[in-house]
Amino acid sequence: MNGSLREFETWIEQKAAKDPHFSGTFWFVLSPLSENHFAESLGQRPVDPQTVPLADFATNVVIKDRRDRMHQTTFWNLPFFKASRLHILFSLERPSRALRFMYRLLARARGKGHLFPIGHSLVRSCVQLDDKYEFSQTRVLRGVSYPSQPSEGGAEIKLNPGDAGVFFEDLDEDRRVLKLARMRAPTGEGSCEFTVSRIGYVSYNKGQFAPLLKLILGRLTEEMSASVRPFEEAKGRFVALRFPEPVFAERASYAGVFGALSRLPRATLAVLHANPYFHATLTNYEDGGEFDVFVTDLCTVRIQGREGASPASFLRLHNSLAEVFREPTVKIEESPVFRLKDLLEGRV
Amino acid sequence: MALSAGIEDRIQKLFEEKHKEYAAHDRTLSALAAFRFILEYVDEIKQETIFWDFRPRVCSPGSESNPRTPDGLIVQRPSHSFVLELKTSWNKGDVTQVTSYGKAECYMQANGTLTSFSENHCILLGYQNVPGDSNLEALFDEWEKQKQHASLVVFRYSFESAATGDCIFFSRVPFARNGTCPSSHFGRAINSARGFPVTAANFSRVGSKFHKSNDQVIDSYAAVIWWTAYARHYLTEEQQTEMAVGGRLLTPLQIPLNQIDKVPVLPDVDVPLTPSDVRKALEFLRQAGLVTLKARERVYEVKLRQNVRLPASAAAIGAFQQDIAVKIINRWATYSVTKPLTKRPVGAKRTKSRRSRDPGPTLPFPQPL
Repeated sequence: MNGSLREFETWIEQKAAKDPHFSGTFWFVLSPLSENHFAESLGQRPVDPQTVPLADFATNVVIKDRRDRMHQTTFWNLPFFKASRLHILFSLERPSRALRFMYRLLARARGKGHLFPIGHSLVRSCVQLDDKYEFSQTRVLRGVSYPSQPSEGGAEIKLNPGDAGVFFEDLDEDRRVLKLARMRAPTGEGSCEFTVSRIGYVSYNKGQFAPLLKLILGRLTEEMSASVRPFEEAKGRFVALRFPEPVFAERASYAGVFGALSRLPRATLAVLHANPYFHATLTNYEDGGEFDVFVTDLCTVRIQGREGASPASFLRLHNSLAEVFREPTVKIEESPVFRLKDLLEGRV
Repeated sequence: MALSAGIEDRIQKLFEEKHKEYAAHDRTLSALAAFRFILEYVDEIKQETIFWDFRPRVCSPGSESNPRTPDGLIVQRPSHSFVLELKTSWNKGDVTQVTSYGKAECYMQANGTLTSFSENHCILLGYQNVPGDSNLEALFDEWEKQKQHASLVVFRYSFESAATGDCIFFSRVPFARNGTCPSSHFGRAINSARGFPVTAANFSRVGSKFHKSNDQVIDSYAAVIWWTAYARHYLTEEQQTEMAVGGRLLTPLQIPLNQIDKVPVLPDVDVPLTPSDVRKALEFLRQAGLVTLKARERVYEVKLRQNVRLPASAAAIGAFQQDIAVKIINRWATYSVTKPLTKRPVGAKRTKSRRSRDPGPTLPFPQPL
């Protein structure tokens, strides 16, 4: 594998050197399917690894436009994690163009494959490619963010906002949700330029590639797996998403929760109770996951998945809420134990 | 087409009434959840409780074929039992209903065997809106006239906002003739003069276990729950894919009338919808224009989709306009006024038309006049 990795690194660096607008995009897909079943569900066929070193399967996705012109994009499977729920697909298109094709591809999996959203803390983890350099030595070349609720306003695109330290500090202070960041991180022999998107991809643009690949195969995917673990272990228990501020101080803020969840495509949400607390039931038709969503205090959304609710389905809800209220901490709630005294003294 | 102000007002009024009823029903389910929570999570009460059932059937020996269905039954050691009934507000029929619970001597187990109530038996009757003294007097007059062995305890349950969070508050009604509970830990809590709250954060842990109370579901609530939680379970694999890909069915979901009794079993639900509730839900959705009854084929046809559109003539309502529950009720109110169903309800007897009337045996010769 190491030999092939080096071959892949050399190949991609050469491609980037020839094209000033190069994008080699790694799409992170969460799926309960095994590697072979995953490839089968997406209609992937075995390929000769000479086209893209390391790739074992590939799929062409074709979309017809309004004028009946055919457009095509290829996604290659990179078999880095054989025994994991995380799968990496690779494309050579600009990500903004490839995204539509990616969604079309994932539809083939009938809800068994979802892009893994790269939230605020995961993007932060991508800033340092080499521990020898400080966090703030990475330059942010382009940052797209938008305000979290209850603030209002549109997306803000910052070109060359400066070093990563200041950029992330400003985001935190202004309570903004990061959508995309293009960065240049110093590495041992130069630098690496890459883009991280909340949608669920990391795109290599230019420079030294090996440190970025090391990050993708190491820290980033480890943190992704850790962040989804509470959802894997939930099994009927409540998962508490706790936001840093009391975002539900007003009853009107429930509309934000409702808005975040009701805009999920292929999902149905019905409010059973909205005053004084919030209770809604949600069915995710993508994979059949069923949830009850509660807001019972000022900072927390509590989600209970019915039997069989998948981690990807949980992640979908989590991401939709994080896009509106910023990133929450995730915790499985333990069963409480009360005494009669607690009940009679009003503490239950 | 613009509707006249009068019609719009009627739609609005109907919507508000129905939505209010929907919310009140949910509060009742929250109160049941609060009871279930304290039975499971308050240590002393958990220890003394032998079992609870939120779908009990109670009766007297000899009347097993017609059991009563209160909202809950709690049996505790050494010899305490409680029958629970929750109401929104006073109804004339309450006296008869509650006294019939008092007369019941035993409960039916899942296998149909009868078990007598414990020595210290109590009927717990909860109201969101406490009845006036005259109604309570009438209730206790009748109760005492029947010389019931059980005690009758009337309590109030209400939503309140407290420092510890939003909660549902239970308090025994301070009416002079009101009974007291047997002295188990649970009984002591109900008897407590100060009452006790259960926060939403706590009872919500078991809140999703109740889709209805044992003997009642409001049609609007049944319709919303059926649409969001049950409908998915009727889909074929192909239809599941249609929903997963496009969020709507390309081929409508068909439920034959003779299959309505087969209600999908949802995991983790203590009190699920029954066949009659599903019928009620489908009729409500039919009036809302989301379900069609194909009488000849004897099927209900459901146009399931992730989102529900409002008719152009629907009334504008306040918050959560995009909520499926609000939309379903709004559609129901709109069509109830503008396009009320005229066809006979399902199950009603077909009156024989002249054409279909049986002509009797045909005779080979003309009948003599």
